[in-house]
Amino acid sequence: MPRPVRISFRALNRLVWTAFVLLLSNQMSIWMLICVLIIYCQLFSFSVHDNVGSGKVFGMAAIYSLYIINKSGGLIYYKDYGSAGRMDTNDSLRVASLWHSMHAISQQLSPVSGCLGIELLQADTFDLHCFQSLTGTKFFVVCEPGAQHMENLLKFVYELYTDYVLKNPFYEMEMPIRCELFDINLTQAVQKDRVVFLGR
Amino acid sequence: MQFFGGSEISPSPPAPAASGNNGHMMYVFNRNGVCLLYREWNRPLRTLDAQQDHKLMFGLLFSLKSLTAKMDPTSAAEKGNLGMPQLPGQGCSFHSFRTNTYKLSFMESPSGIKIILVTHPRTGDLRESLKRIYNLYVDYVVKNPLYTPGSPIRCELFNTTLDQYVRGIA
Amino acid sequence: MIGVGKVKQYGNVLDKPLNKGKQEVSLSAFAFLFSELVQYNQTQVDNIGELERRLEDAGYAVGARVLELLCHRDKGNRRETRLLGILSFVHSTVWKVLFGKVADSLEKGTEHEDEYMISEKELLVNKFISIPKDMGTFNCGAFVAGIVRGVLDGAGFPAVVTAHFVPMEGQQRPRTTILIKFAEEVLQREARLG
Repeated sequence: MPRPVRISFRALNRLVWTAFVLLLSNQMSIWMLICVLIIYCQLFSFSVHDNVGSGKVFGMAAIYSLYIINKSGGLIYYKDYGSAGRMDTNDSLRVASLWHSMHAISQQLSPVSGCLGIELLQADTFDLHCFQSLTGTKFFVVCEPGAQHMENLLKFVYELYTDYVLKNPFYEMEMPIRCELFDINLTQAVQKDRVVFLGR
Repeated sequence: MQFFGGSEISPSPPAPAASGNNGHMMYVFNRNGVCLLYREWNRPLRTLDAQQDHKLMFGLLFSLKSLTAKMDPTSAAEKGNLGMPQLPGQGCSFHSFRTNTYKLSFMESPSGIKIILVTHPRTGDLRESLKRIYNLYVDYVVKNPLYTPGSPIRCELFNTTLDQYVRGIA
Repeated sequence: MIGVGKVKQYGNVLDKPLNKGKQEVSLSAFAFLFSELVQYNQTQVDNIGELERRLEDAGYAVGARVLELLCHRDKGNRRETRLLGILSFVHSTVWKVLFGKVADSLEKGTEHEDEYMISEKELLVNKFISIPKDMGTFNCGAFVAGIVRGVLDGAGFPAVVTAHFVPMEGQQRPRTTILIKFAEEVLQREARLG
């Protein structure tokens, strides 16, 4: 795709305005106006495409991956959003069950009573936010350090899980999740603008 | 039927007091997993005896470190099997985790000394403070001619300075 | 969860007002109940065709009752006798009572004279349901197809009714089409009526 010519919108707007004024004063044919409009549209569409291509403006939130583990520590959902450290099935299963036990041990080590396990783990290159439902299903997301609104995202994922997984007659409890509707809605939820929206 | 997550729904601990008294406890481990120092300031709940507690804490740190090293989403390099021992400074480590009742801050020195500080969940970033504590360790323990490396720390001066410092930060 | 408004208790069923058409039911409650219905039937069958048939039978009973109720409630004890009349009755009145809205479209089949289609972009019973890949073209809308068949049959329009997924351009999800194929006698009668 050609790089967009850098012309400010104000300049473009003025160009179109001038064209209209010229047309009104009969100094310019309608064909010339159409030509100007076509150029305008072309430039405009290029600049919009450029935004999409960069992936920063409309792309994913800063999420690396999402896990759901059942109450006995088995991984029932793993989705990687294009991180460099993508794991194969065996590794993701191991990581999930390790997290399950670490979560339990952290409750034992609490200096005061009523501990519900790790909510946020801050590593050198990522943050891990974890949400545990009352039934013991754990949802955790691996994201960029300092990413915002992740608690809300996890609660929303839980909502999607209750809707599109638990209400699906073909889903067997505690088994890996293979539900098309869940996938579709989840993909929408992790879009950056949606995550920010959830934070409100 | 077993319910997970205890009897209460997310009991939040009292807000942190203005100063002092928010530090719960501190551990220092050497690279062999020997607990060199355990200080305790405020710990109402104790589920295990001291030795079991130290072992469990070291195990948690070891496993969490291998977990973060394996998970590291920014590096595509082959990371080996999960649970493979990592040398100090090797692989992606972590510096803190938070539960609803406490926050644990963790630091590992290049020689494998691990400093763990457990504080109120709402304390901020303690990375700098842990470095200061490491500094205290170097000053009052390592430079102490009567201290044998690898043995439990029994330096009165270190303990008092540490107590004072922790009261100042948390 | 069921019933948004307060339901007044009547000692005698005859004291109840007829027009009670606006009672809403929790969608979650319905979704779970329907999910259990499908799961139960799944344990009773060994192939998909059989499951579809059982769902349709369950729907048939609902349809027959719905027709009875609506004729009494909305039509002053009269029923539709013409083909287009009964179709629009299903498309609007029945749909509105069951799903809170009229169906998205009602079309006549292009290839066959005796085929009509009611299409719904997102059928209520399918709202939370993802069909596993190994079940092929199975559609839980079979239950709704059964309802439609029940209504039509009760009104004297025997028909074969089936539910299908129809992929739509530019949409991620296929829509559900309820295909109605009337029996020959219905069309002959319709022709006689002119």
